[in-house]
Amino acid sequence: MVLVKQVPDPNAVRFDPRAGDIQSGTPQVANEYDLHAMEAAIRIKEQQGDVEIVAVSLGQARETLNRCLAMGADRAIVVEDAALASGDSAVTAKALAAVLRAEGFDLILVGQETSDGGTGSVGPALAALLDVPVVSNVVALEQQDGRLTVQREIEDGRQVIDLAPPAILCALSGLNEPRYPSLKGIMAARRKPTEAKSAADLGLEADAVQSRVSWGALFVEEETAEGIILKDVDADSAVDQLVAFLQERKLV
Amino acid sequence: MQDERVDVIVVGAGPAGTAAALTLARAGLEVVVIERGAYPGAKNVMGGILYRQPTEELVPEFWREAPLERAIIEQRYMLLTEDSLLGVTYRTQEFAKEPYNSFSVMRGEFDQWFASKAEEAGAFIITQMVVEDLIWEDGKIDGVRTGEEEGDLRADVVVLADGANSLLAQKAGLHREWKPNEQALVAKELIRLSEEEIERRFNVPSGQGVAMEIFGQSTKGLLGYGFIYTNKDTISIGTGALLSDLIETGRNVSDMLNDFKAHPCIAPMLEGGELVEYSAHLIPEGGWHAMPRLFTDGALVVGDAAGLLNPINREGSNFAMISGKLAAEAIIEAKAAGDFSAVGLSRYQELLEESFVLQDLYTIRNVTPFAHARPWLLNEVPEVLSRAMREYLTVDDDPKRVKQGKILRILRDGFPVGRTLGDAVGALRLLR
Repeated sequence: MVLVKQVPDPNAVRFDPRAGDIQSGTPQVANEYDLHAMEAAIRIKEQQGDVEIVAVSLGQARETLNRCLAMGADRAIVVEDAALASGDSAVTAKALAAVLRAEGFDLILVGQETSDGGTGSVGPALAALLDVPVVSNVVALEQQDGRLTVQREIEDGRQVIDLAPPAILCALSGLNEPRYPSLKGIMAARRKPTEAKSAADLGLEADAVQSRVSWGALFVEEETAEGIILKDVDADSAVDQLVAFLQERKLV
Repeated sequence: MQDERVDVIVVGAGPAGTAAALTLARAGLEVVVIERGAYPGAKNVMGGILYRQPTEELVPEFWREAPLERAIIEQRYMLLTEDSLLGVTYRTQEFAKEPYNSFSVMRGEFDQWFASKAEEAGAFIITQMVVEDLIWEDGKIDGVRTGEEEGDLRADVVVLADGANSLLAQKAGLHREWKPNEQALVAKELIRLSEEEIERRFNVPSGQGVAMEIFGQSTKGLLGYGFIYTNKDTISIGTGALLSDLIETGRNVSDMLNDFKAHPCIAPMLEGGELVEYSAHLIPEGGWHAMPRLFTDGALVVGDAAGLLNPINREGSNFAMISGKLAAEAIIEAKAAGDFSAVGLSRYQELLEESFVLQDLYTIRNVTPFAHARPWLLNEVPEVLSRAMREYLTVDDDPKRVKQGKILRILRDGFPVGRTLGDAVGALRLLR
């Protein structure tokens, strides 16, 4: 099972001061860490063969799921429900846990955090809800005879952990280089099923998916750099002043 | 390993490719569109005017849901000299009400929406993928090669909609490279102002806008024109000329655009605006005389790739859409007949000849050479007309009879009889 999320493109995000939010119409892309999780799943399948990869997402994520299918996932499940759309990470974890329980799993791979919310709590929350071990900040993964050897990034080094599935692994970008879908993969993805589920399908009660955390406001910190503006001076003296300014700050 | 196979591959998700894909998908054919940009429209540049009627042939009442900037209710044609502007304005309430006549659009947004219509109809669009070559099988084009592992895709027909300077039309043996005198280079900027400010400056209500074509100093007298279109909260301003003239005069379009923007008659329209986008693009303007062959065994070429556009009437995207639609209709007939050879696809040429596309291209076939042979039309003529107009409007102590004499003299000197007769005869020939 691979959990993925579609997020506003971090390279295209602009703050819209009038709306107090990011500009509407920002392009949506796959969350980067999740693609590393997806890649890890494909590599396990390539090594082991008899594996089914299911990509699971919550919210608007058709393009991202299509990308996962094109990379090599076998099928996709998307939870699309207005009641869950603006949920906090605990709500997200509950909804995903319901899917995972219904589907059954050996190994759950997920990105360490998403680039939009960035709480990094969905993986660990799932571990608590499903009562399975979790390893975060995963940068290397090997498997042999049904056991996993995982390296996680810690302060000043790496920790090596040996465990047996079921488990949840939260991927960092050091884990691998996600492949680009091939034309063949993209064409094959068209024939793979994507199943849509609602909160009701998952048996989630309305009060179970109440957010406890809500967004207050989004704002951009004022950045001011001290500088000087040279106006209406002739080129020679402007250059002299500029050089003096840079030398003063040991920049040249 | 067998390559995947579909009915039709369309290369390029601009208006031509998308129109073809939409028409094919609606007819139940399996069609794949391959677009090199991050999304349909990402690579596309256009001045910004989309006409309603041809677009409705593909999506009826599209204006109710498509992302459009403003309905154009006013058209201005201007002659620009060093310090003056002389023009004709036409404005009508007829264009201000449904179903409207034309719109300013942002190609990035509109093309994405248009592509989503093709997807809804069942076309499959692949982005961020470059077609590097065509696949030939038994003397027929049988698919495309994307240059990556497992990157071949086969199809009965490939629609080449890869835009100006179509490399694939050349690879298909349909075309050569455009010559410098067969393409225009146009630079365009997007200047942001508030909606209210645009409405105030251009004297339009919310949701409505103005289009201007400006001849003369907007191109330093080179054959071409400058344009200004109002979008929702930006203004499109651009100018361009034939590549051959730019090369010959050593001018570059971005300087030309800067001078145009700074012209005292133009600058106040843009004042205080923020530059949000700069783009430049080649436009294949060789027209009728430079047109490639439009079909071959297993492939058709549409839109800019085929040079199907009319620079005189500012029509590109509608030619593209209609040519895409007609290509699709020809393919649908070819499929029914089971013949994807050049003979089977030649119906495309017939359909284009029956439509306005080739008829218009034939009509305007000599306009560019005519104007190009008469550099005074964009240099001296605006100057003379502007002087005559200034004389007419200046009140001084000349009696009116003297003034009339002065105006006539300006016009007589500015329009030498022999040359003017030649121009008139030539112009009449063009209109025939």
